[in-house]
Amino acid sequence: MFYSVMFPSAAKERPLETTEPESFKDLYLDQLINWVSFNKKVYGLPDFYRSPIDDPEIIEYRQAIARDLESVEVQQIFNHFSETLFNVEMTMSGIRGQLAYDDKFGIDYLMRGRVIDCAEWYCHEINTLAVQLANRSFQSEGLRAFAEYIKTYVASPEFQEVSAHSTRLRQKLLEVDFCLLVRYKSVSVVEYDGQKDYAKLLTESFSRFNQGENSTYKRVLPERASSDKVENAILGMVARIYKETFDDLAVFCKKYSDFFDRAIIRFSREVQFYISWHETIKELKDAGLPFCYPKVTHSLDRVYGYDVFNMVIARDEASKIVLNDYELNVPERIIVITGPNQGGKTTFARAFAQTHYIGSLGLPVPGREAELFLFDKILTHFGREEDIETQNGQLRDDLLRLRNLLDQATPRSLIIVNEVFASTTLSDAIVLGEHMMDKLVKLGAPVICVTFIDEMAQHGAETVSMVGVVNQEDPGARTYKIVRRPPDGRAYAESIAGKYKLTYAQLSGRLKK
Amino acid sequence: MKVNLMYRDKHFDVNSDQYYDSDAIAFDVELKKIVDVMSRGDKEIAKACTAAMFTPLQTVEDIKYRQDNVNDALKHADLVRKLYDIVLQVQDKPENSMHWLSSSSNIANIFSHGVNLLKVYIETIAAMLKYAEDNKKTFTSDGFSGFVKMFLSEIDGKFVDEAKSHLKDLRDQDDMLIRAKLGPFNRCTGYVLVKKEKRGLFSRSKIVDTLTIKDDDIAGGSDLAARQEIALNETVTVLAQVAKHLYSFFTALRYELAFYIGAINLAEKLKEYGAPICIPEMLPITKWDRSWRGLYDVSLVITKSAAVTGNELDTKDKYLYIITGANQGGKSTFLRSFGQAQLMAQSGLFVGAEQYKAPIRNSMYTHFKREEDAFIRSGKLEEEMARMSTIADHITPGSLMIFNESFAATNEREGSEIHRQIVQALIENGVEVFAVSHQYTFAAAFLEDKKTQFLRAGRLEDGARTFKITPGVPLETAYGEDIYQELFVNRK
Repeated sequence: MFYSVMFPSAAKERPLETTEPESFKDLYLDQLINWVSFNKKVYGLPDFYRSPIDDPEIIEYRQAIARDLESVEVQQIFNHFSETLFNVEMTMSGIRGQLAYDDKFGIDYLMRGRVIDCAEWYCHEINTLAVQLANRSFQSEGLRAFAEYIKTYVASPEFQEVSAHSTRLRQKLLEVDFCLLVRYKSVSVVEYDGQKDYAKLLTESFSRFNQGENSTYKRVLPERASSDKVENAILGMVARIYKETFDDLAVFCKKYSDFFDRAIIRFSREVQFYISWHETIKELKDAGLPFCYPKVTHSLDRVYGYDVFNMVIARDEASKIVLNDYELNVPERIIVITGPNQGGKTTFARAFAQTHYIGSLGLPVPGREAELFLFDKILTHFGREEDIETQNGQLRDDLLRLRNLLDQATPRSLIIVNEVFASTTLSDAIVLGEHMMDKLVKLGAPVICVTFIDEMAQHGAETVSMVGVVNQEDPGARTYKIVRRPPDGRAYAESIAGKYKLTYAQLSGRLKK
Repeated sequence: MKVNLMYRDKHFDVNSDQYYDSDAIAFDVELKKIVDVMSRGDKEIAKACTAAMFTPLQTVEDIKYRQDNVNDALKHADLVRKLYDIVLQVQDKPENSMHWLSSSSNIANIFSHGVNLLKVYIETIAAMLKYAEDNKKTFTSDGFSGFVKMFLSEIDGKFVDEAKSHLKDLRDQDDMLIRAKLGPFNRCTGYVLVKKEKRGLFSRSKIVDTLTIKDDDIAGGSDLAARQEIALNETVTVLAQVAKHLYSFFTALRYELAFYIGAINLAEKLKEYGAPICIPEMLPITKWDRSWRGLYDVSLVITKSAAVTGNELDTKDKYLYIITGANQGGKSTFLRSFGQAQLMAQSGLFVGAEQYKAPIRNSMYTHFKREEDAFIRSGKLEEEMARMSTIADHITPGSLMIFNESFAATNEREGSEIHRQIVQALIENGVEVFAVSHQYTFAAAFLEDKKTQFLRAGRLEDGARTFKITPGVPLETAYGEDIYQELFVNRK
């Protein structure tokens, strides 16, 4: 029996987080969530994105659904379905309360119109979806169950009846055709009798001057509330011309005020979690960036990510993004990154955290292949801008925050430390860095540490040293490549023509493109 | 109704900015002075002429079509100007901007504005109809005679009368008859203003009922006004559409005529200065022959208000032209005259020469030394390299590349090598290159190349400059030996 696409069963369901921990800002996860949910505000997606999971069974349930939804066609089907149903439900929930009073104070033709609108949309969407799903097979348990659910629902007599009735009624309403004679203080309804249309007359005369440009000049009028009273009075007059149609409308509204299926409505919100993700990563994938479904584990024996990247940076500069690898084999669990400024060190640290976080949501992560650690929380310590005035205060603040971090940390926490002790002397920083490393080693949690202190990179067997690479040919340009090797760095000059790709060979190649 | 004065069967787009960095090219060959003479202060003429020169025609046939029209226009200058004036009457009317559409005034105002504008257009159409009838047989070119013929086949007196009658009806809108349907929420929708046929319509039988709004029902009153507005708005949409059609036709006509007015203006000026012009003979893009006689810098003639010395050339099968020689010897003037001629010729214009024959090129690129001294030496070279690299992103085989003292912001050995590699790569890939250079090492690298034409700025025996550019290999001025001699052999 189908329950939800977020959780395999009611027993496995857990409450959603509604707030963001401090670490989100440091890791750009706040920007990521904002980006992903930006075009889909109505669905309240941030709550799903703020709720990481550490149960491999739920993650695998979601990964399977995400895989099925990779097909653009399947995405389109569900996206359209979800958008429409979600809207219809919002509209209809507003009407239901009022509908009880219909007829009490004169007929509200407008509300009746909304009921048939909603019913028609709802039936149409569900019928369409049933047809679209009929010959489709899904790999995931979640979507298979949903498809089965829809199939049964569509065949049910209750649904069949409302669907047929709404189709019949709409056809009759579309045939309604009349004229309004509008004067200064009165409006009359007049039967339509083949009167000629000015717009056509003008267009026929002047279209010969058209130079092939056909933009329309629709002036959008400022919204002016029409009077429901006048509208209803007009409809009352029109109802005299089309009596049978309007009687049928009344019957329809009485019968079908509440027939939406709750599980389907819930699905229409939740499926947007997957669609929003796929839509977001599409432009990155199109730019050639890899995404993969990670293996997830509670052990630190082997954790790795190949060709990973920071998604928020990739959003702005997909073509320039550099892919990096990380790999931790027991007993390794601390990565220390050193290298030139602006060389992509912090970006790498964020990429590490992002892949882990996204993996815990059950979604495909940036990278070609990955096995990720299931954390209980993510803790960050990002150094603040240097400020001579408050140097001592800042060092104290740094250490306080570090203590606070270590108090909260468990061996299952993911820890990101960025440019800590940047505001103190080198010798101080070395000593403090040693202390910090001792504590982190003892804690046993996975850590990424970005620093200018080379000594920290050689702390012991738990430590892996990674370095931001300098472009040998153009020392001014940054490569943003972070590789596993002892701390170092060197620069070389290079011929200027080469830099501008204007040597004979390079230019010939460019001209042949 | 297509104007087709610029192309046999294509719209002339003055806004197409397909050309890479046309501003820099116009600056390098001093096109602005020429365009100023063409436009005589009419910005739209300047726009049309610039667009035409930066949309180089690609076939001999297209060029021939336009050259014939240019000839016809020069022959009937007054009549072409008269047509342009008729068009200007409507184009210059204040109503004739589409601003009225977006204005915030009320819809009834906008509606009557639209109707008035149409009236003005119809008057202009009537004037053009008379012009066309008067000039049925004046023009001989396909462009101008075709235009007159097209106009007469589309427009007649009956059209003008009918259009006037529709407009008269539209002005009377105290009560409106609006056709409607039912839409979402059961609201009336799909409003269409329909013609009030007096017969039978207002008889009781067809009116179902009438709702009269009480004086104190403010919401009801404004509801009715809103309905009228919606119906008017629908009609305004159509009026706008119609006005836009007319506007686009007259705009197209204005810009296409503007090009020929520009040609007339320039030809008259050059004639006044005694400078010759000729319709060039254009060869297909596959050809590599060039010949000209009396080719001069048009912008220089305009500056001096007098004719200047021209240059001669007659070459076959060359892809590289290297111009060396004395400073102030007319090298830059020569490059400009040549660049101008190529742009003018491929727009279908005459050129500033007694005779001019050249192949068609995809497009033309210029890389001129920039005079700014703000750059330190290395920075300047970087700027030049960056500029060249951008050109390389755009240039295609079949293009023309003009260098003026490029890559000289470093020592000669380095600069020459950079220059040589770039030029070599260009010519091997089907780009024709003209290069003015002081770099002997660069020029000498092509001495054995049969498809390179060397030109030199002349200087007489006494050192006086001739301002003539004539065939001639580069000369290596050797001061080193002299100095060695002076300092070591003949030491004083």
